[in-house]
Amino acid sequence: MTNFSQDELLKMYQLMVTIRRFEDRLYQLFLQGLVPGTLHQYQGQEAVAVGVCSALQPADIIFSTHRPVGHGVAKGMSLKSIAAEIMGKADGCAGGKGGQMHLTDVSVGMMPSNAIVGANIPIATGAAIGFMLRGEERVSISFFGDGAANIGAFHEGINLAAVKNAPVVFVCENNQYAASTHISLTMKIENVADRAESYGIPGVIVDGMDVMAVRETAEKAVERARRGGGPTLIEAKTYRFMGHSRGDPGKYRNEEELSEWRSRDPIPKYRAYLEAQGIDPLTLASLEESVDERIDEAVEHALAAPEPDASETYLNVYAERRK
Amino acid sequence: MSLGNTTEMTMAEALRDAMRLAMQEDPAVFLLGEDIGIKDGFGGGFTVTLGLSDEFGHERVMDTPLSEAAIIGAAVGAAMVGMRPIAEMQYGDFVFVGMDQVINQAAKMHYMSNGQVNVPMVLRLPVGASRRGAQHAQSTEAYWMHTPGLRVVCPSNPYDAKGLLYAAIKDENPVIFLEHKLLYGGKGRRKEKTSIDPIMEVPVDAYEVPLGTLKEVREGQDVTILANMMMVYRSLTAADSLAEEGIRAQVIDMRCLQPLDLDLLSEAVKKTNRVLIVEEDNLTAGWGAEIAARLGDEVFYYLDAPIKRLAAPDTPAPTAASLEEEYLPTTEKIIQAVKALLEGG
Amino acid sequence: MISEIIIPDLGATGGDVILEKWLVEKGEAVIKGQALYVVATDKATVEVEAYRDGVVHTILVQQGETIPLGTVIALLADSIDEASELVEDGPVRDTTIPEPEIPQITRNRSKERILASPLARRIAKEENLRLEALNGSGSKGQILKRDVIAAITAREKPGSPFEILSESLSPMRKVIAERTTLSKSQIPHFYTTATIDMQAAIELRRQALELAEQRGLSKPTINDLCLRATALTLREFSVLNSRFDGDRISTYQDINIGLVIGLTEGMLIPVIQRADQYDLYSLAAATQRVRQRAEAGQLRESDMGRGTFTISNLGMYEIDSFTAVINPPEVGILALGKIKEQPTVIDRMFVIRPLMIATLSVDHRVVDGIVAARFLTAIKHILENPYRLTLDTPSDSTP
Repeated sequence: MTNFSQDELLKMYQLMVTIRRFEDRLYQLFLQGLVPGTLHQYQGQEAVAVGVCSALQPADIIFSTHRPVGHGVAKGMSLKSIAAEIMGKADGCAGGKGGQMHLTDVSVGMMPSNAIVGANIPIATGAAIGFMLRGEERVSISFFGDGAANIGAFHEGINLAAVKNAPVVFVCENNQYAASTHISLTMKIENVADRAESYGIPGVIVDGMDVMAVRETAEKAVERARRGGGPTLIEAKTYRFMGHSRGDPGKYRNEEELSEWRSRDPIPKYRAYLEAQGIDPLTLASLEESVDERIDEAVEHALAAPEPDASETYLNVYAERRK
Repeated sequence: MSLGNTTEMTMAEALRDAMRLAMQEDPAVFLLGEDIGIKDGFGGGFTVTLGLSDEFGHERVMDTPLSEAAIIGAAVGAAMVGMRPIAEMQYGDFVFVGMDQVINQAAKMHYMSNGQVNVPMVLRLPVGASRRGAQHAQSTEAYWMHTPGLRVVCPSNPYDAKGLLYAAIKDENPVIFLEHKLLYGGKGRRKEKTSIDPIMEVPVDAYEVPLGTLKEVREGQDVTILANMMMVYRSLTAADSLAEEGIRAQVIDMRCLQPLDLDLLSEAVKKTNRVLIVEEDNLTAGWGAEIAARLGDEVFYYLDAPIKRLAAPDTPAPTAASLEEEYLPTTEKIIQAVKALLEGG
Repeated sequence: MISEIIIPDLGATGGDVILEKWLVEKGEAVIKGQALYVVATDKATVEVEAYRDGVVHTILVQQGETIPLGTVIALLADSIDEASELVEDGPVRDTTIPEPEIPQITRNRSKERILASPLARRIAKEENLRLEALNGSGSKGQILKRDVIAAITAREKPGSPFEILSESLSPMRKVIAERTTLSKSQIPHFYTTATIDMQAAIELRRQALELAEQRGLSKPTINDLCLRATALTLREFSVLNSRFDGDRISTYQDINIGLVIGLTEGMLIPVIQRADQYDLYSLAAATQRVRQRAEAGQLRESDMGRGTFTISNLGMYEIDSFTAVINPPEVGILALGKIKEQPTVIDRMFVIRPLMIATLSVDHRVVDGIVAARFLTAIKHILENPYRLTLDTPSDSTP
């Protein structure tokens, strides 16, 4: 395991806090009716996004899902571009045409996130095949939830990656629920990672509430892929504190379960770890303050930004030929 | 127009040649599909990729498991990071297993990302009724035409096939490339019953037939017949027969449906005042319906008869030869339809 | 009282029909509106209802038989025991008036559209050719480019006049042609003319309009006044409320007055049944409704036929007077001209009065000059003393 510099450790903390507070802020905006459509929120799962993305090189790419804010922030997207996109403004990362479920910033390796469950699995595999054919030492990451473990594309995509030894890492964020359905109702096995064996690739289970554990696991898997060792299926056991989407109060989960997982909140857990490593709480506090400032900036910017012009509807359906 | 050095090629050979030249030029081009690269194997369902893995290796001519969603999805992913994949389905009808990857993924990525990613892939589909039954028979054009973001190409002959495939590989968008099973020109044991196997002189060098162009394959003043792939040949045969009765039918090869050269079609109808569309897939909401609606809009005041479509009836494709004969538009049906148009439809 | 059940004009092409099925049997009591039988025309199979309560007295035609329109297929009685003889001579006190075999003038529901290709239409328009003047050679008779070109060529040929290409008569025109020919060739028309001072009638109408406005009633027109005047007069001149088939005069109790309604393609004559039974306002409502339906091509089977007299009014045009063609098998028709302010003499003084010339045509085989004269004079008197229009009530009817 790498020795982390203080900067790196703090960076991870900052990212997790940013995700948490940004998502909370978006929730407030949603309640004020300023968010068109709905939100699929990431609170509780921050350790996974940050743990995995911090193990990547800048040239590595990630494929996210309908719940992309955590991944986008962790990979380095600007809060302004995310906030503006979610609010349907012209200077959102996709000009308002993607919306909350289709965040994209290719410049930081955030590929268009996918609202079709499991669809990014073969796509991430294809990207990895592309890297392989070109001899590039890049890795692609496919994020998906426990629900995706049962769709055809999961099976086809992981199998293809295994057979071709593609440099892709599959990260399943098992938050126990696919929308309102508990995982025990949709699978006869206990762990998604157990399926890895049937494809002939390693399957690893990790505590998704522990950012350092996730980081360690991810590093190993990414390294393996980069070396030509093929794909890994990582299953991070985690929990989302909010409902599936903003329209969902999550009544299908009981209080006991919720409070059990909340007691394992990755952020206080990590803070405790950092303080144990000798980091000054005041440093952490001032970090949090600067996070709040940046979130305020981003939100204000997004609120004030103009909406896209109607003529934008017709742009970028087809790509022009390169000269 | 000088074609330079040419040689006789079947359509399968012409397609192979296009891919070979493209792969030689650009290392980003690679193929993926089932049974396409296996040594001493099939060369795909219809011999098209025969020999390519010998030249380019098994990584660039990549055999895949039987996983249509993964084949197409992998092509999308590879294209998104700058490769130029050519994926093939063994039979066009199998594409439906991977429809999400075509419609929700390939077609929409460029738009959803507001231009940040391109998906320059080609998806080759062997199509057309060939006495194998309903699940090996569709032409599928309508599904693609209806999906913004896709290009739709359907050549009828070796020259067009090579030039259009070469152009499709260079296009920055996902191209659905339809190849009619009965036009490949397979030989020996790979020959199809009732195939037409056009062979023609095709330039040996690389050349493009630009997407978005249509071709008048026969001149005529009395009626404009719009047909694609196999139906072009039946239309030409019908036109020969009609000519003996003094009826001069123009035939236009609808080799590219998206982009669509509507201007060419409008100009044609303004001269002949009559349109017959001949398509192989089912009538309802077929590609002919779209063209008919557009022409009805563009050249209404030049029509001396309603725009007519000949197509398969709204049934799945039957297998028995006699039923397939009933199912497909025949030369005789085309002749009768033209004559009816001359009497006002 | 015995009533005849006949096959009505069902809007088919007028040929024979098949009595498919009886839905009632002899001796069965039926109520008005109840389906009696099923008949199949070349267009449709329909059920026909009873127009009155009664008991099925006799079935004259069996199911499965093919018969012409107008055939009496059964008799309906008040009760099963009622004597069943129809009165041979004199006026028949019958409320059912059988339809003659002369075809009715009907209007096609579907407006006849000239079928022509868009191209042909465009060229014709550019060349100032009327599509109505062209023959269509298309498979459905549609006009194609070649037909327009042929017409242009013909027009341009030196020496040959541009012939308006012949077209066949529309169904409506055919019927009008038949009926008027029949009328003029068979009926010796006799005419009497009277000039009617309409001042009082106009004043009455004005008052009627005020009342109608206040009470939300329909507004009577001058034609409605004339119609009522004629209806009331027909009560006293039953010979003019009759039908003549060349042999027998059938006089009717019901006074059913046909109104000639002109259309672009011809005319229709819907009938106001029992016209004398309405007061002025409800008569106005009835004539309005029937006029609207006629113009919209939506006349019902109940609007047509069973007429006993007809009125034709060209007063909305600059027509002083005209002689109308009797509508067989009726024996009289009244033609009304325009009301014009004219000088006239009253009490040896010149005055200006609104005058209307009315011309009565009668069938001289049935109605003599004196009867015609007295009839027309009576109408004139009512219109010139129009309080009579509001006086007479249904219970006043003289048999």
